[in-house]
Amino acid sequence: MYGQRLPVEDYLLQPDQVSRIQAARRALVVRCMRSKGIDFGFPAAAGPHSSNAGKTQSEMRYVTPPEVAAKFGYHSPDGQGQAPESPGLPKATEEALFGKDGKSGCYAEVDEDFDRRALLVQDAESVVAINIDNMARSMEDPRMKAAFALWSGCMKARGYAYGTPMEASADPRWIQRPTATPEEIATAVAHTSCMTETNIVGTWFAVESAYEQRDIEAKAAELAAYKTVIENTLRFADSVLAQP
Amino acid sequence: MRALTFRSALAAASATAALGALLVAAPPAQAAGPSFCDEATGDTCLYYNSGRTGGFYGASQNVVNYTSDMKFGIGNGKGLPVKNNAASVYNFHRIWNVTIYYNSNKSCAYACQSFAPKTGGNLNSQMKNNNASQGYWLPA
Repeated sequence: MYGQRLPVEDYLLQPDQVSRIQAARRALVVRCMRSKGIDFGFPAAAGPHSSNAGKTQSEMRYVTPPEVAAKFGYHSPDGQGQAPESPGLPKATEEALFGKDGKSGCYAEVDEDFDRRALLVQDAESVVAINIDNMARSMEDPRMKAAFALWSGCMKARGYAYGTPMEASADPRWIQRPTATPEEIATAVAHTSCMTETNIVGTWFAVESAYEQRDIEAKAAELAAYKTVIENTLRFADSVLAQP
Repeated sequence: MRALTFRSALAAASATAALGALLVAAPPAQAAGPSFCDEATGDTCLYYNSGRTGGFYGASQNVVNYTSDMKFGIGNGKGLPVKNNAASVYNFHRIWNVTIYYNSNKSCAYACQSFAPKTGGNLNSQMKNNNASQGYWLPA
């Protein structure tokens, strides 16, 4: 749903928070290296911003905007893309970063410090579970099965035989070429039209929200404490970044 | 069997006992692949088992669909394709986040799970054995 957040999103790290936490981790690694007499710097954090960045969970998972479907079909608007290689490091630098065993060194020291302070470096598994498990649970819900049947009927009327939106997305024909074929685009356009016509997205958002809410209520104490951990982590990250 | 360097020791935690002698071997020309996860190229290391154990595979690029020739190396799961068979992940990239997608084509439709630079973890129970593609990104 555009502009709407699922209940779990109150507990997921937002992109700007991820940026701050990772910037602090890097700054601490640089400081640790300096304390070992090694001048080390990270390359500038330049790179691809995912087309998913800034989207809510529900925007990413249910909705392909019609204009994106019309241009890219089921392909990612980001294209294939390439991850750049990190420049090679002198052996002494590498050992100071990762230790001789690959499990110690400055990275390990910084992350152990986060651990000791009971801070996060990324979303906790239990929160990821609320986010993803309830997506899966919603797919099995009778209300969603009815919604999928409506969607499937809408697609059938347009000449496409898919039981669910997931089936259509996973059609093996869509991975055979680096860009969308006209057939793929036509299918994706029909797919998104049928999502709108059957209001499947509204149903899905309501069903999944209810499942998440149930989990959140069951884990209220744990999640309240977790909120504090997020706040503490951000406060710590900001204090690290404020230091020269 | 491919040589392992100390860079991949983290990835090879479960294999180090048996392969300790190989850990000091010179790095092979290939920077990623079966049983090779490289810090220098910022690979995403995919493991057959939870807790970053079992056979592993290093993929250093965005992958819109893990192909059938991308297979786990030594250990549990050896020879099996990484697509829809990974249980845990480590992101060796120093700067970029990596997202593992339930779908091909790097689509977060239905589900996806991200790992910060230099972190790893188990794939969520729904993502486990449902990994179809991966992509690196920076937060907005």
